[in-house]
Formats: sequence, C-alpha cells, structure tokens
Amino acid sequence: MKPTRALIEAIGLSISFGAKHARTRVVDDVSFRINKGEAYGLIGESGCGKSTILRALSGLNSDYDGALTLTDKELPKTRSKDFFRRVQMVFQDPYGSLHPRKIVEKVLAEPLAIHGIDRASERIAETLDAVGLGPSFRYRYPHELSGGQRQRVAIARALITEPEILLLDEPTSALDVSVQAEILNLLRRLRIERNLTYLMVSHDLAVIAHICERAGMMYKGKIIEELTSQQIRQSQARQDYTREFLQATIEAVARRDEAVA
Amino acid sequence: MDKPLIDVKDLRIRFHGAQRSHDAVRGVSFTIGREKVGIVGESGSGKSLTGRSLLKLTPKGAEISATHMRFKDIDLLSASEREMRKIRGNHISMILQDPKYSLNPLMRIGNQIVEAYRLHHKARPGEAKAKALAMLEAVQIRDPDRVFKLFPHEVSGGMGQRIMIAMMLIPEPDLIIADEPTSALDVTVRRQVLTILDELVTRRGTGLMFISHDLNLVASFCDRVLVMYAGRIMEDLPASELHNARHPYTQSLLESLPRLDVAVENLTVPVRDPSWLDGPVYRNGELA
Repeated sequence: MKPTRALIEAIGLSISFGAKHARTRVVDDVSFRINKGEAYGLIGESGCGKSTILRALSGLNSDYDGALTLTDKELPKTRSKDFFRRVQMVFQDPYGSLHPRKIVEKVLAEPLAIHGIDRASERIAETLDAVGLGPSFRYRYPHELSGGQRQRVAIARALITEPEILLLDEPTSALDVSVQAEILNLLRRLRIERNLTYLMVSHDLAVIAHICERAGMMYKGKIIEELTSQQIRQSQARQDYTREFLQATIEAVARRDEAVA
Repeated sequence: MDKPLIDVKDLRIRFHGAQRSHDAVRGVSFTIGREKVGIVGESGSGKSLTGRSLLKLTPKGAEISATHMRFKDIDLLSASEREMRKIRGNHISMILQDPKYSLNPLMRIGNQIVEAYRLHHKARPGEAKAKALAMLEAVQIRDPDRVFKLFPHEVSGGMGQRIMIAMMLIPEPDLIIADEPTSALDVTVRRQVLTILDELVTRRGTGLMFISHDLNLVASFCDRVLVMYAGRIMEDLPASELHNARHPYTQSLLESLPRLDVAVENLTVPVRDPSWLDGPVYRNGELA
C-alpha cells in the first residue's frame, strides 16, 4: 500500500457513559487511520463499542476524549455543516431510519434543502437511479417498500449530498441473506464509481472481508489488532480472541465449504 | 423408521382481504421425526406461519386447511382449543426470536421456569424449583441460584435465549419449534446457544423444527433442510446433500453468501423466477 495521507484519523479516542461514580469506559484509547478511497471495517461482538465509535465520529455523540481528524484537521466537538455534507451515515435498521409519513422524494429532498444544493429534482432522479431504484419509487411511502428497497433509499439519502465518506452501521444485518447480496454489491459498486471512503461496522466477518481492505478487531472497547481482508480469509490472527472469533464464524460455514467445493 | 411426530399434507394458509384473499402457504407437505429439520426461506415465504400453524397460533384472520395435519395420533386440524392447550408446551413448544419480548418482564426468571414446569407436571413447589435449577445448569448458566432470582432485563441476550431454551425444554416436549432463535444474537454467542440446543435435543431425542433465513447456519446444524419460497417447499433434502441441490433457488441462495475462503468481485444476487411459483419441486435430489 502506498503511503497516502489519512482521510480520517482517530487518536486516543475514549468514550465513557454513565454518572460520575458509575462511569464505564465503552471505548478505550482507540486509534486508527483510514486513507482516502479505502474501506475500513470494525468487527466485534455486541457491546464492544464499535457502533459507539461511529456515533462519535458522525457527531451524534460529542462527549468523547481524544481527537478525530478529517484531512489532517481536528474536528470540533460541534461539527460544521460542511462536515455533515462530506460525511454521511447509513443505519442498521431500514425500518426505523426512514420517516414513515414521508414519501421517498421528500426524504431525499430534505438534505438538499438543508445544504442548499441546486437541481434538486434531477439529483433525486439520478441518485435513485444510482442505487438501482426506478423513477416509480419516487412517490412511495416506506411501508410500500421491502426491506432491501428501504435500505437502498437510506443509501440514496446518504449519497445525495455527494459525500466523501460513508459510515455504515451494520447495513445488512436487518436484511435477509438473499437481499444482503444485492446491498453488498451496490455498496461495492458505489465505492468504485464515486471514489468513496467507507467505515463499516459489522459482526459478520464474511461481509467485512468482502467489502473492506482492512479491519480492526474490537474487544472490550479496544482495537486489539488490525487485519487485512486477506488475513481474515486465511485466519492469520495474532490474538487469541481474534482467533476464537474467526473460528466461530468459520465453523458455521465449514459444511458449506465442502458443499460448494 | 418409526412413525413421524408431525405429518402434514397439503397445508394451505389463506388470509381473506376485503377485495381479494391471499395464500401465504400453498400446499406444503412434510414430516418431522425425531430429527433436526431446518426450514429456510426469505421473509414472506411462509416459513414462520407454517411453524405457528402446527400450534394453531396463526393470526385470527388466517384460514388453515390441509388434507391432514397430525401430531403423533392427534389430528391437529380438528383439535379444539382445549386440546391444543394440552399440546402446547407439553408436547410441542416454541422458542421465539427475541428473548427480550418473549419473557415476562415482571416475573423473576426462576418463577417463570417453575411455572412452565408445574403447568404440565404435578409437582410440589420445592421439587419444581430443584428441577428448574437443574435445568438452568443444563443450559450452562453459571451460578443458577443467582440467576433464578433475576428479572429478564438483568440478563444479556444470549443468557435470555438460554433461559428460553430451559423453559421450553423443562416440560419435556416431543417437538420444539425454534423460530429464528439466534438471529437476535451475536456470532460468538450464537454458536454457544446452538451447541446447547443441539446437545439437549440430541440427548433427549426431541424433534426440532428450526426456522431460519440463514441457509448457512441451517446447513451446519440440521439433519434435513426444507427450502421454502413463496409459500411452497421448493426443495427437501438432507443437509449433507446441499451441494447437490437441484432447484435454482436453493443454488442461488447458496451462491449469494459472501465467502471467507474465496474473494469474489460481485456476489450472485438470487434471481426470482415467476415460473417457480407453480414450477417443479425437488425431494432428495429427485423431482417430486
């Protein structure tokens, strides 16, 4: 990998929750860097703090210690409007992240209005097209869409401000296995077409290995090691916990391997 | 082979709408013996409805019809609500997806398990409590005495699901219907819960109907797999024979999963062919 400047960097990030005496450290001194155009994954079991990092980075939680930088500039605790245009997030549950009483067009028009972006109507049509939904989806309500279609709308909403960075919080774990493939293909294609940088959180190793080049294995609020997708595929882990985690996934697929072979 | 526990032939479940009615399950036939049978399909394929219909727990508007639907020698179709109450829990029990919603939040865990036992067996409270503690230990809960006194919100998701398993196994049913029992759980916890379920089911010779959308998981866990699509069973085959799956839908489901061992550029997206709705189905690699 050629040494490029980091687009996103976390330096000594720590996040704690709770009142003074019962304060627990959820994220503990985490550092990582993501280069432009790279896809970085965070893996770990629930409660290890991976989504908390995403929320801190996206500006949803400003109560953190340490620094987060974007193109070498430290981000202020209160993010600027420009930041929200450049960094967008896709949430886990497409059933919860779309307003039930807004049609797709309105969902997509809102970020454009907020950021004062022109050509709203054309942009909506283009973005819907880019995520593989036809113009007929423009005037539908979320309840008229399937889970996979909703997640496409959620991705479209994130893309419409033409961001550089997408934060993906388990984007396929609420979906069926058969729909998962569609969304993963879409994410891969969009990244190449639009030169996006991804930070993706998942507990599914196969999904991370498919989308990301590098991933950090998290355990109890710390990144215990970083692996490339190649190392994940070949189960080359140094830490015992990572090895156990890899094993848990591989055993579940063992039968399939011999099946497809 | 001895007599199957469940014998269903040509099961149909229909919902009546104001204008038109909708068939959610269309002519499903299967048998379940003392084995682990997995039912796989995407949402809306009718897999959960099929499971629930065995206990007659389908929503009010659903109309169930079948040539026959038997549990051992009991005809489930004509069974009254009173007879069904005897079957539920006692002979057939059900593990639901999310322990957060399926445990009583106002009752201590131990008392819920004791209740499940005493509802079906004549036992004194002390005896039932001892049994419940033993059961908690069987699902590998450390310190069962402490957990016995906890409320559901005080335990983790994995522990909650193990408690559900304990509660469902304590009346010693003949058949367990598990409806996506692990999809709310983590990968690491999932394996633990499945191992426990597998061990208990195998040791007691209980039949298991395992409903899931994860073909992968079912393939490694069950003895036999039924693949459902749009209310029909597309393929019925032993899990070890999955690589010989004949139906294009089963094949595409297998190919759509991202794989750890091989990197691929693009995943195969399962195509859905309208002709499958009434097309051929396969049993054990043969046309049925």
